[in-house]
Formats: sequence, C-alpha cells, structure tokens
Amino acid sequence: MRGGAMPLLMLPMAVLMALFFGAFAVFGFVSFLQPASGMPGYQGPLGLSNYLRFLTDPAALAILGETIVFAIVVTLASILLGYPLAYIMARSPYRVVRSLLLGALVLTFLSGSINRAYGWLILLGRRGVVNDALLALGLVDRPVALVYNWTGVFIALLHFTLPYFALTVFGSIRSVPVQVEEAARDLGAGPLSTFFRITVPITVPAIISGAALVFSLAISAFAFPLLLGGGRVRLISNYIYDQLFVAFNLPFAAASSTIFLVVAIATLCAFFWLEGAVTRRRAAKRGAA
Amino acid sequence: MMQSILRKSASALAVAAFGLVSAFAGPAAAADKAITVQAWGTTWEQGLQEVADGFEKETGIHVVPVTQSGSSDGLARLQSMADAPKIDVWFSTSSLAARATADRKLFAPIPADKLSNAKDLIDGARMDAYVAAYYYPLSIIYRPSLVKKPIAGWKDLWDPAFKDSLATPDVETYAGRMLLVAALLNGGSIDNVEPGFKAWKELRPNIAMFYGSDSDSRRALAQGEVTVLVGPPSQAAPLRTDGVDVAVLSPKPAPVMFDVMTLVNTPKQDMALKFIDYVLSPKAQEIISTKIDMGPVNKSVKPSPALAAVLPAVADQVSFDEAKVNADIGTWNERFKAEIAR
Repeated sequence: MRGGAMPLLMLPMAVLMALFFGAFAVFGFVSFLQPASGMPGYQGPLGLSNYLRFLTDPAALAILGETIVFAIVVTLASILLGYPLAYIMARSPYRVVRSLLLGALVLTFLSGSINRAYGWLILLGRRGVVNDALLALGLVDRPVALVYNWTGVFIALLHFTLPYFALTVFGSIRSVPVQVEEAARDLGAGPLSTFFRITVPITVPAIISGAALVFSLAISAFAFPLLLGGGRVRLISNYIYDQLFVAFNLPFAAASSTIFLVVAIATLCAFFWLEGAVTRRRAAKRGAA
Repeated sequence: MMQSILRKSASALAVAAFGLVSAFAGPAAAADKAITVQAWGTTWEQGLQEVADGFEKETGIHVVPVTQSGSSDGLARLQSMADAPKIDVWFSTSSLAARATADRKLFAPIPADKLSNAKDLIDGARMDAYVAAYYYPLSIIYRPSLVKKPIAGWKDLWDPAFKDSLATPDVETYAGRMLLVAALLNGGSIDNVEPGFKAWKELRPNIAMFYGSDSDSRRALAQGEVTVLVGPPSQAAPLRTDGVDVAVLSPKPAPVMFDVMTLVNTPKQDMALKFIDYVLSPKAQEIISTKIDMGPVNKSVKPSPALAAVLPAVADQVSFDEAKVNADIGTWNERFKAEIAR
C-alpha cells in the first residue's frame, strides 16, 4: 500500500473510535458532577465525591469483589472444561466426534444469549428436565433449586463463555504438529505426560488469551444475573443499572462504571502481561537451546 | 408496568439507536397529522392500539407507538432527546412521572380546561403535569391447583407451607409497594418502613424469586416454578387465555397505583392533549378495562365484571405520597439488595 492513502483509509475508523470514546468521555466527565436533587440529571460543582462514596461503601466494594471472584471462578471452570473439549475436537481420531462437537459448539455460539437463558430456565427449573431426572434416579427427595440463584447464573454463564474459550484454544492445539506429540511418545512419554508436558505448555498463550476473553465476558455479565438470578444475584453491571434507573443518580452510576472499567482493564492488562511473559520465556529458552 | 428484561438489557443501545434513527428520519418522514406516543409494548398490544385506532377514526390524527421496556428506560430515551423531543405523550408509572415532570423544560402542564373528561375523573387521577390512564392494585395471583388451601389475605403468604413458592416484586418494581404493604401489615407506615423490612426478611424462605419484569414472573407462575405471585390483576388475563388456572384477590391493605400520561413539551401539544383526553373518554376507558384488565379512571365507566370481582373495595385501598416514595426508593433499594435479596 502506498503511504499517501493511509491517512484517508484510517479516517472512518478514527471517526468511529472518536465517537465511541467521546461518548464515554462525556460519561466520565459526568462522574465528577453531582446529582440534581429530586430528579434525573446532574449539576455542578466538580468533585471526587462519587468516587469517594463508592470506594468507602462496603456494600459497593463487596459487589465489585464478588463480581471479580465470580468472573475468576467462571474463567477457571471454562479452562477446566473447555481445554479437554478443544483437545478432543482437535485430536480425536474419529471425524464424526470432531465434527459433532465443533458443530454443537458453533451452534451454541450462534444462538442468542437470551434464548439460552430462557432455555436454561426451562431445563433447570423445579419442574424441568434436570430435576425430573434427579428425582427419577432417586438422587434427591424434592426438586433442587438450580435457578433463581448463583448456581443458575453460573451454569448459564459458563455455557455462554465455553465456546469462546474452546474455539480460541482449538486453533492453537490444531497448530501444534502431531509429530511433536508423536516424538514425545517415541521418547517414552505416556499419553498423560505428553499432554501435560508438551501440548498444554505449547498452547499456554492461547489459554491465557481465551481466559482473558472469558474473564471480560463474565465480569460484565448483565442479562444472565437478571434473568436467572431471581433478584438475588447482583453483579457490578446490575449495580450500575440500579444507580441509573432506580436511584436516578447518573453521576454516581458514571463513577461506578469508571471504577469498574479501570479494574477490568487492569485485570486484562495482567492477563496480557502474563501472556507476554510466557511467550518471552519460551523464546529465551529456545534461544538458549 | 414492567416488560421483558431482555429489552431492558438492550435499553441503553435502544436509546442510542433511537436518537440516531430519529436524527436521520427528521420531520419530513412524520406526517403532519400524527403524534408519537411512548408506552409499554404489552399494554399497547393489549388495548392501547385499539384506543389509538378509535382516536384516529374520530380525529384523523395518526398515533405512532414507540415502546419502552420500563418507564425508566422510556424516561432515559426522552432525556436523550431533551432539546427536540420526538415523543409527544409518554406513559409512565405515577411515581416516576412525579419525579420526571419536575423538569418543566421537557414536560408541559396539562390544563384541566383542555380535557373535556377532567370532571369525570376519580380522585387523585389528575395532577398538574400528568393524568392517570387507569389504576391497578397490587394483588395476589395464585394457582389454586398447586396450593394446599385457598389464600385469604396477605398474612397467609408467611405460612411455611408456601416455602420456595412465591414471586414478589423487587423494590424498583411497583415502586416499593411490596415493602410498604409489609410495613402496613405490621404497624409501620411510609415514614417507618422498619417493620416492613423485618417482615419481608421473615418471608424470605418462602420467596423463590424477586422479579423485575412482569413477563418473567408470569412465566414462572405459568410453569409452576412459583405458585403465588404478588402483582397487578392484569397478570392473570394472559394466563387464563392460555388455559392456566389462576385466582386473584386484592386483600387489605391494597396499594392502588396509577399509570399516567405526561405531555411532552413539543410543537404538537394540541394534538397530544386531544389524545390524552380521548384516553380518558368512556369509550377508551371501556377498552382499557376489558382488554388490559386495568381499573377505569372515568367515573362513568364501570369496570368489566371480571375485573370488578378482583378490584379491592374502596375501604381496603391505600395510596402513598409519591414524593416520599421517590425520596427514599434509592435507599430502600440498596437496603433491600443488601439484606433481603441475597
């Protein structure tokens, strides 16, 4: 590409970015203002009171903390379930198995999250298939509460994030030449040893990228807690929504969003730093060898 | 009234998108004799569309509906276009209207002499800047086939037999009325909600879900996820249509609420006022009563027999000072989320 065309080609994206970030900049500015008394809206003077209020309110901090812990748990579960799934999709000797799993995952990926939430409500409900099965098997005496609580939100969110993780890692596992694993096996490593000492370490950067993706989806979850939490599960997005639409305190909602954004970006930076560190270490090792 | 949560979750996007669309569509796209009315989707489909059709036949003014998932979302949309609103009449809960119409730049007063039906309205239905379209109580709706014995009053809900089987609104939904009922039942009042929090906390083992959306709670009742629902009687009609057995009662104290119409400060105020007046007319109130199952605010209209059977006796009705509700609801909500909905 010739250098002259570049600025012109970048213009549409620059405008788009300016629009998005401009909107957030306005919101960020509002976070330093005060709510107008008695009605939605805001007024001066500028100050840090909204930030102070959030950072000194144990309830608000607890919700931020719970959201982060919950997002970490969902991320770990996605890794534990998603990696084997991706591995089977990439390495199963049976084509049917590979195609079926990949097809199911892509189908899940493409169906809307709201549809899935309602699907889970029906499956996991008191009179749902899962409870019917548990009762029929005699594992429980009365239906177990699987929705309208954290369990329901966790299951639905995990189901939502799993394809993101599995598909990210799937590509990476596929790109590891089968010969590398065969070489390990030839040198006497068992299947488990090959898996944990060869395949997994090679794909660590993909695991970290996938985990970062899952984490950012989980930490910003809004609809799943709303639909499946039965009013009991409140993540930070739901908290911010309440400040906007129940308390009508736009400046405080803006400050809460900004704090949340900073925490989320910091966590994501940690993920990327980790990914970079792993890649650098591997490059250094390769250099030494 | 609340509608489906999925739309609630997309509300922020909708606000932005609507702004964009209306900016491009401009005045050229709108016919001269047309007004835009923002209301809840279900309410619109159930009956307001029919009202609007009658209005157009009579006046030649076309009504363009814009749906909102909840009145809070609707207000956010209105505020986003505050400089040149493209909505002429906005339907809202009375609590939110009381708060929002303090903004006299966005909303215009509704002069009584412009409403031919003003003299026929029930008490409390008309304020300076909003007029009620209908009223409804907070009632108990339940599935007789799934409960062991019929429910006679609010106190029955505390019976351990109802473990894990109730859906109650959260504080945001129906503007804290659940808390206020619990307070009144236990010697409290709007100025002393402490007994309400205590009683609601004691009710927790019986509550399966705290809902923020009518359609969600209705579905839970239809599926038997819950057997009892605290909400307006209009929740029962769609279930009955689907063949689900439901019973409704409005025991004392029955908080009565209005859904109201506000007049947005636009150049089409005259036409908008005509529409508001038409909604208050006996003809429109009949439709609202029979099709949406909401209490008519025009004294000359009798509620439909089915609705009359479940509306609370006048002596059992209670109403609350919206200004007090608005001043405290943010605090109530935080406390509710921290102590009860956990």
